[in-house]
Amino acid sequence: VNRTQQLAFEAFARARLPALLRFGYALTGSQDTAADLVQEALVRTGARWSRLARSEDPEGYVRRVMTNTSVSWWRQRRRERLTASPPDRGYEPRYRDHALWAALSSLPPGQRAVLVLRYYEDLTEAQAAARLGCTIGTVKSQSARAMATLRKALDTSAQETK
Amino acid sequence: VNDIEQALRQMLHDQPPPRADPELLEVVYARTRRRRRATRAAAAGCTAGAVIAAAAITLLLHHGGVTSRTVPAASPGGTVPWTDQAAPVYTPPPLPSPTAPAAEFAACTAASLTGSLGDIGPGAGQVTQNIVLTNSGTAACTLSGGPSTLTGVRADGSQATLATGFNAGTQTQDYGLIGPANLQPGQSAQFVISMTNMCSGGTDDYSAVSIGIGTSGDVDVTLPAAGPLDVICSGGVNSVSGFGVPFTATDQVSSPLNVLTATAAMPATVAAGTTVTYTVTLQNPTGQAVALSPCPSYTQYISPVGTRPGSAASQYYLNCQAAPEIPAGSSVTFDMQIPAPAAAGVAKYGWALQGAAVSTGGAVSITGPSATATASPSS
Repeated sequence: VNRTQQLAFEAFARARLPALLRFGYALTGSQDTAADLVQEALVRTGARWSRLARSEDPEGYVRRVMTNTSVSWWRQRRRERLTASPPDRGYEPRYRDHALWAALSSLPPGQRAVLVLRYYEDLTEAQAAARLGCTIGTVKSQSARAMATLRKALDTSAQETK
Repeated sequence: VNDIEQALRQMLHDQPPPRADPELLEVVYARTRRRRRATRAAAAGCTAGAVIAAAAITLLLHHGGVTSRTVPAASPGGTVPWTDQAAPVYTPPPLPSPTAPAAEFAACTAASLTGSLGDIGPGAGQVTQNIVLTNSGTAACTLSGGPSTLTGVRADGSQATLATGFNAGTQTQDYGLIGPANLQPGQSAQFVISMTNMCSGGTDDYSAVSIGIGTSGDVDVTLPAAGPLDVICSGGVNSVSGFGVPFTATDQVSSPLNVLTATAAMPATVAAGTTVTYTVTLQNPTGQAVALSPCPSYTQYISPVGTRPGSAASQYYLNCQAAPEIPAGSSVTFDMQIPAPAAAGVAKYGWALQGAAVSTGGAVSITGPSATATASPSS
């Protein structure tokens, strides 16, 4: 743990920030929450940088912390009150009004995380399980449940527009 | 289902450009630096007790600023009272994009350089390895361009050409500035090679490397058995940068205040809608006092997780009358006040000296107003 390592960590954080923010956005659908997630995960990564830089994949660690933190924040907030998150300033995604977007936003973050790992990061079920620290079975069941929710939402919206 | 998967893929990848948030990395850096210092102090058996500057206490009594405050019983000395003096929002001058310096000295030759392996950096599917070249001669020299060749020697004596040539052009890279490196004796330049790490295993280990320095010959680097150059995946070297120097921490913001470190003492939970009092301790680890003149201002915020702190941030001047300096090797603790968010939930807080790389922050729980607390007390 020395100055060189701190500088190496800072270089890592600077270099990977855009990609991590994009991953956070895929996880949360909000640039603001993404920034919070990245900040929190980077602080935890920096604290154990000397070990991570040697033995593990540091970026994988950051992303794992982001995934877990998004779930725990959601749990904490759900206890207080569930409100529709205010839209970010400045950017309206093309899909904001799409039924799929709404359905995706309604998923518990654990299920959403599985979908993000599978369809944004393109991980296999085994890799996603390793990232989340759970079994392949859990990834499969979470994924199936999430896809069922999305399918139902799309069917409903298709019928409404008929 | 395939349609949904396809739509999902598109939707997740359809993203706004990631927003650069200067505060974000500053807070990360400050918090990790603080943790490291704390770890080191603990390892050395040190106690990191807050030292309150005698001068600050004297002035504090002078101003009689303690009347409206409660000093916690645990506080051995005292804190500098908060002062309600709003400051303008600091707008940083545009950062000059780092440019390579001009070559100042005669070209370095292979004979005047020694090499070593530097840091390994991770990237997306890439591993980067810094290779450091130090001016071991007696005269200053300039290292320009890049390595003309890079040859690896395996333990069994067999050789492999890892690269010929380098990425031309003056450019910044993630790990430093590319361009002429003006080296006094003992100073170092670096170049960066990158390799893919997208493989299931296998490394090609080199116990020595030769770095071609133009027409002057090679710098031969013998590597220790425990620290060979690992060419990950045996896939060779993807790219080689030109020579340059690493970024330093001061490339971002340069201020005499940067030697200070800030530590906030924020309650773990605060009640929604109340005014939170907390403290920020500025520590000066150097042997020279840091004058708070001109009086620095700070920005502070508590904002719910998932919102930009911008609108919640407020700017004030430090109470520089009570504490005109942070004495050498000492610290001063300042009282702070800030309104808590109106709604319960998880929030983050941040505190930073404006125009300096001195900041701190963390998370705080906002507890909701209870039924009795929401009843209006004015009736």
